[in-house]
Amino acid sequence: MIHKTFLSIAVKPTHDQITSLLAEKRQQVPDEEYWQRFLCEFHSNQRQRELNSTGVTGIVSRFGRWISEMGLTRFAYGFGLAYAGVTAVYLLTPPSVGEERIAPTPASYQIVPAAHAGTAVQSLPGVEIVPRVLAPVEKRVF
Amino acid sequence: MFRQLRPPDPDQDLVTRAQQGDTRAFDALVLKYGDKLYGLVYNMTSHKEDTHDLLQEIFARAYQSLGKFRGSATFYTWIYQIAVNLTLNFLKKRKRRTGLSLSEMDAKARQDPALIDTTHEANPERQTNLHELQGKLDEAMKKLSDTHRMVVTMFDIQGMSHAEIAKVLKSSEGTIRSRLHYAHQQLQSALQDSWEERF
Repeated sequence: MIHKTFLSIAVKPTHDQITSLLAEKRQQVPDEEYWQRFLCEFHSNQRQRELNSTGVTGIVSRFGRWISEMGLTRFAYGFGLAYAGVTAVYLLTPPSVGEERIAPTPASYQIVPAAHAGTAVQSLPGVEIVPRVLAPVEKRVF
Repeated sequence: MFRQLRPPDPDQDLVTRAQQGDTRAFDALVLKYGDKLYGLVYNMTSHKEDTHDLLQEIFARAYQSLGKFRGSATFYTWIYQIAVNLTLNFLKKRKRRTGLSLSEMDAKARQDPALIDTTHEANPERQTNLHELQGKLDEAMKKLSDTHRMVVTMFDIQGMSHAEIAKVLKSSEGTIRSRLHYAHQQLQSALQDSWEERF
């Protein structure tokens, strides 16, 4: 009874107990037959892969693998950096570089004499401004 | 001043032959490291089919990249790095895709007939007890983060040294020790209740 109580208090497994329990897992291995099947499948997959590696699908799959190997995050960072670099180059490059410079030409003004300058103003026929009907004298204001 | 000499890669001959197109040499490498990599991936995914598919991918990636292997690390370290990277990526994708917790994964993993426990066949009672404890341990392992579970798997299950793990994970030995310490503490706490019932 005392022995049982004592053991129930010492509950936490020691470091050595844990490591020896973990070491038991070392012995768990697949059987030999598994590896024979594994190698058959492996070679079959390799042959299929070699066949697929030629042609457009092969190029596409290789590009896909290249992207996946690089990692999406790194790809995004790379794309962002490249974009920032191109933008910086575009903004920092003076706009005159590469443009064809046109030499300024002095403005020339040519005075063209007006044709028929003498007849430009026509004289209107004389108009006599006189009231036709005069009001009586007593009603005249002025 | 003096450059530290690295011991020669024991797989150098097989690797060279495989690089020259000898598929049998590559098969030999698969058979040599298959069990260890299976253990690594299976303890990380807890799923038999996922483990199989991932192993196919790991060896396919190694086969395709063999031409780029220059021997700056051993083949063992190199293929472990491929396995670790692909496994961690796979776990991230699986979490995003399904939102499944690891406890919902292969519950029958321990009874998997494809896995042979080579040590306790002669003692069925011990085997049963061990299975129960292993079940509790698996549950506790699943509660660890991917990186902590990876370190525990490599050190305690695969028997790799701190230095080897540090090389594979491209980390310092101090970081590996710290992660292991934390993970062991977590496992001890998680197994506390089942330990009490048993002893």
